[in-house]
Amino acid sequence: MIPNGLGALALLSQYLTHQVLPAVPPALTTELRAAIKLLDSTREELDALYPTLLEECSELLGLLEDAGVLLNARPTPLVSTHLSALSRQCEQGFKNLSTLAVCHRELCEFTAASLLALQQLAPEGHAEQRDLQALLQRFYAVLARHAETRVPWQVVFPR
Amino acid sequence: MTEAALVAETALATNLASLVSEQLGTAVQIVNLRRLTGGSSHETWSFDVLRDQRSAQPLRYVLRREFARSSINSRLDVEFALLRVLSELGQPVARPAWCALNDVRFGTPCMLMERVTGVDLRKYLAARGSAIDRPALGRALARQQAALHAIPLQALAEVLPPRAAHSTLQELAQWTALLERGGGSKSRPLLAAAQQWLQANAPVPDRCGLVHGDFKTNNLILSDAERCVILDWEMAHLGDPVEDLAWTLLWTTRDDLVEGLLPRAEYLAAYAQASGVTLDPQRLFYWEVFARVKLAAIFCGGAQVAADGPPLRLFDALLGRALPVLERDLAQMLASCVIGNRP
Repeated sequence: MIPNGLGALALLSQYLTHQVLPAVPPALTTELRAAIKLLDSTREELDALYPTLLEECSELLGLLEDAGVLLNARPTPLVSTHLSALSRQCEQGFKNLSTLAVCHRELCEFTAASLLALQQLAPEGHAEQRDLQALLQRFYAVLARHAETRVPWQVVFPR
Repeated sequence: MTEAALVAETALATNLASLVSEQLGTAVQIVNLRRLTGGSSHETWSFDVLRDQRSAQPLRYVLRREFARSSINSRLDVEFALLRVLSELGQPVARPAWCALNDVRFGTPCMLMERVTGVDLRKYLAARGSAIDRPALGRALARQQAALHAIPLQALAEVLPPRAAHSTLQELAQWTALLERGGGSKSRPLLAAAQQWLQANAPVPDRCGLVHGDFKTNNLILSDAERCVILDWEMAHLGDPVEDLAWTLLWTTRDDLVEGLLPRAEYLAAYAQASGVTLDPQRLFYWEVFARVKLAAIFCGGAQVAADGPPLRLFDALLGRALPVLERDLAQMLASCVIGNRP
């Protein structure tokens, strides 16, 4: 069977590990090992990236929409009215990986701005800010989950 | 090795011979020159110096010099001066030899210091497994860390600038600047959120001491004399010693000080006993958040690709991919603040 793109990356990794690594001088082994690890972790990422980004975009959009409902009711509107435009843009981007990644990045930027605003509005320990604090917790929980998804795509820390 | 690398290495050996013979006042020969792996801000070379035929023992040195893709903005002259002071104080450091900031032979600032014979503690732990008394070594290193923090500030006054009461924010600004240069937080909500939290919750330092800034097993050399020599002082500064402790707590595999040699609580207890300081959990929590942002800054700074700059090192690319681990931790830590669950 002819290997697909991911299979070709695996072949390349095996070739570097078994044929090239034993033959290179010691000064190059560290970088070559890094290259092999980079290849392997990238292959894992690519294998899961499209559905991951798709799910995360959907989740972030839902989170930001909820934030918009809550925060627009406050004296300081925080979630921009650009959200609906961004939402449309993301839907168009869902057709392929690279445009989906661009939409995901824009959503993350929007999420960062919203999260900073939320943190300022919902300081810890203020009981009267319960609804904002609950929303803040949701942001952290969602983003923690997104980070957790990527932990297997790195090799620096235990996975 | 490529021809260009061979030429560069030969030139380096020639220049080292020239420098060392000037300093020693005798002709020397450089042998066993080889580049050591690792390093985020400097490249490191190991070499031996032969003085003449009658001299049986070669002199062992290490050359550290800046390279173009350094992710950490450190000053070799400060590090050199600090090593000299610490060496004179009897602290376990490699003895510095010479520092050349503007020597055209080397192109970039460099420093030479004695090469400590021994093994990187991380590698030693990995190789020896449980065949060593890990708790005893862990307690000894906690004592060593406390001893660094207790060095009188007047001994360091000429080397490290004194820090003001707002030194925490100064320290934070340094790392957030690196994070931003690396494109870090704009599209990474948790890094942005953590920076904001750190800015808003910075504690006023209640004591000031020498912070090594990277006190962990791969910067400790277990020397032939069965003592640990502390390397890599490029991030050293004066500040809150709890910052140093929190950085050490960040590394928790079986080959690290914490959880590798001692469980976290025992390491903290050993440090507290040695330093005589009661650790404030909130202060420690702050610096543990800080440690993750600092490491994220180092990762981002190293992994950025400048269109007109030198190519990205693969090792730095690998480090950059580890950001989600730090982000996951930060999410959990920040969430604990919202529900008032912080220590």
